Amino acid sequence: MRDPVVHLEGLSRAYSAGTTAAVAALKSISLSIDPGEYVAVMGPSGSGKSTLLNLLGLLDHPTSGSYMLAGREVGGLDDDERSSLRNRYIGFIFQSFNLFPQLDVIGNVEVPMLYAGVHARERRRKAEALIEMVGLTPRRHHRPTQLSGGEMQRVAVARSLVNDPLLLLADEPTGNLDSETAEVIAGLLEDLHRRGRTIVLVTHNSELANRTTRILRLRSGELQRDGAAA
Amino acid sequence: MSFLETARLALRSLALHKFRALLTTLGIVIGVAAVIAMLSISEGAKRETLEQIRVMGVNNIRLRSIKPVAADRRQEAAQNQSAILTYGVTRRELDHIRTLSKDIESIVPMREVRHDVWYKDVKTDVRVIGTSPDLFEVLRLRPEDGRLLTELDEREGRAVCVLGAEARRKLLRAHSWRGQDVKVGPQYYRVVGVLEDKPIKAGGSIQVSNLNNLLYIPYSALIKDFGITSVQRKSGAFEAIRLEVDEAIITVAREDAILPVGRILARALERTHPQNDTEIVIPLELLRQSQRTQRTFTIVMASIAALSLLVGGIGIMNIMLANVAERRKEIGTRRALGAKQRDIRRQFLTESVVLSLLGAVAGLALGAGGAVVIHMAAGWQTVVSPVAVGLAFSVAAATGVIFGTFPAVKAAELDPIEALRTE
Repeated sequence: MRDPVVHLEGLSRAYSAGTTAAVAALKSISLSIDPGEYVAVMGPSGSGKSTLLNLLGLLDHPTSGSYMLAGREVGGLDDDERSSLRNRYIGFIFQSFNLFPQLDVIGNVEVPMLYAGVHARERRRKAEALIEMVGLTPRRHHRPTQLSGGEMQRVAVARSLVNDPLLLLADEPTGNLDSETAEVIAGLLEDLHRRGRTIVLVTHNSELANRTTRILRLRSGELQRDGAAA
Repeated sequence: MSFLETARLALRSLALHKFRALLTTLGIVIGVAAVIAMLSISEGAKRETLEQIRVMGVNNIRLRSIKPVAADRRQEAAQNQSAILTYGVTRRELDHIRTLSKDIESIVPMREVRHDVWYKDVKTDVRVIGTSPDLFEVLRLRPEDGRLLTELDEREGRAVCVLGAEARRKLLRAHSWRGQDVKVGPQYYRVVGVLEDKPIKAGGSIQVSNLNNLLYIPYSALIKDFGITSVQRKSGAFEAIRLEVDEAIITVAREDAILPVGRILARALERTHPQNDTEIVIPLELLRQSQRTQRTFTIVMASIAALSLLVGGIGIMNIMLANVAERRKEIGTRRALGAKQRDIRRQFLTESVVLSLLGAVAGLALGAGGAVVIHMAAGWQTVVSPVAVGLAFSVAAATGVIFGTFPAVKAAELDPIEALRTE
């Protein structure tokens, strides 16, 4: 049996708001996500969805508890180690795409490989293959400003995959898209899931959530429900 | 990420705001232009001085006769009841000066003849001086062909001449110099030799400004053929002057004897020439003086350059801070994609260095262009040396690093979550 991709044990995150008592954003969360799972995280604003996603993405430190990423405790790692784990194991997809305006499509897709120290020719090859996969080959020399929202998100999906991550984290990936292009992105994610990619998705959109295999519901920082999608 | 890739990214990021980048670099541009212009002018001035001094010879002292100014002249003419103006150093004085110090090696008199020079029916602006054979040694003038003037020519006052390279071209064109006679005023002189091209101009001396354009005859022949009195037509009237020596070059055996000999000369001339119709020029002194002037000039220009680089650096820091604030989301995204703090630091530091190097390139063009303009307008020699270019670029790069470090560190230390949250 392979290690779960994510294993959380009593994970908590509290923010100290000035001198007053700390505010708990996430209270003792324990869960496991196995390879190949397609998980949706749902809940109202302020329920701790983003905090959970930041913790999973190694952007934030838990106040207490343990986080094992692919069987490895990541609690005590320093900034550089966390950066290279993010680079190698985690792919990010953002609600507002977060493409770099100074780079063209290929350039954007190549960025994570730059930080991984991949050779230029190999970078080019991989970037072009992924751009082909998301169907943007004719637009590979365009700048983000010349693309539609759906196209930008496809670029972001391609970018999230270039280092072949263990875990794909998507924060409201269809939140800024109209329903038609949202459908394209949803299809793309489902496609990735079918190919065995482990995906965690934060969304308000229950339609999108229902297409996953498992839904985590958060309320006030606690895991309220953990079950299969309807 | 290699440096080249980082630099390319920096260029692309800067290209998003071209006008802003242009304005930002203006301070650096002006600073570097000042450095380049300053160094090229002072390098040019240094070379010019050195050339002059090399021509004049560091171990030489020049003694010049100066025509008294108009007011003194009228007075003198009234006193002497004579229409002939007599001034300047005499041969007897030169002979006397020779006895004053044992450090004086030789004294070479020069007297210009103000007559047109002809070859057959071609008239030229070649100038004629009568001088002693020592001149060629003292000024390191070498024969290209034929011979130089000799002691015998001098003793016998022979009607022979040696041509400077340019004088030869003007007079003889492609003809061989052998057996040719050139005419100075009414007198013919047989050409006995031609000189090598002296590649530099002898600045500083009015009488003999271009050694290549001279025709050299024995001093004694000049006295015999033309005398020491010459008549010139000047603004409608005739003016007669009696002048034995235009200029004399006094060579001194040892360098440390130059200044003492100079003082001895000054004292001797003070007695015999109270009317200031002589002048002593000591190249060594000129050299030191020009070094002092240059030092002042360099300090002033360096301060201007430092000041504008400081202002330029502050401009860069300002724009880089704005950049960091504006691109928080980019920074957060890069961190999420795996950039380490040092990657972010390097990215922004490279950007500020590239910015200041772009300024340096523009400043280099401006400074070099300015040097050319100064050369054309003021006639100063200017030299853009590789050292100056290297210095300007290193200073600009250092400015970029110094003023880019703080914004870059700030960028690197941003909390990725905070940075991502910015819209």
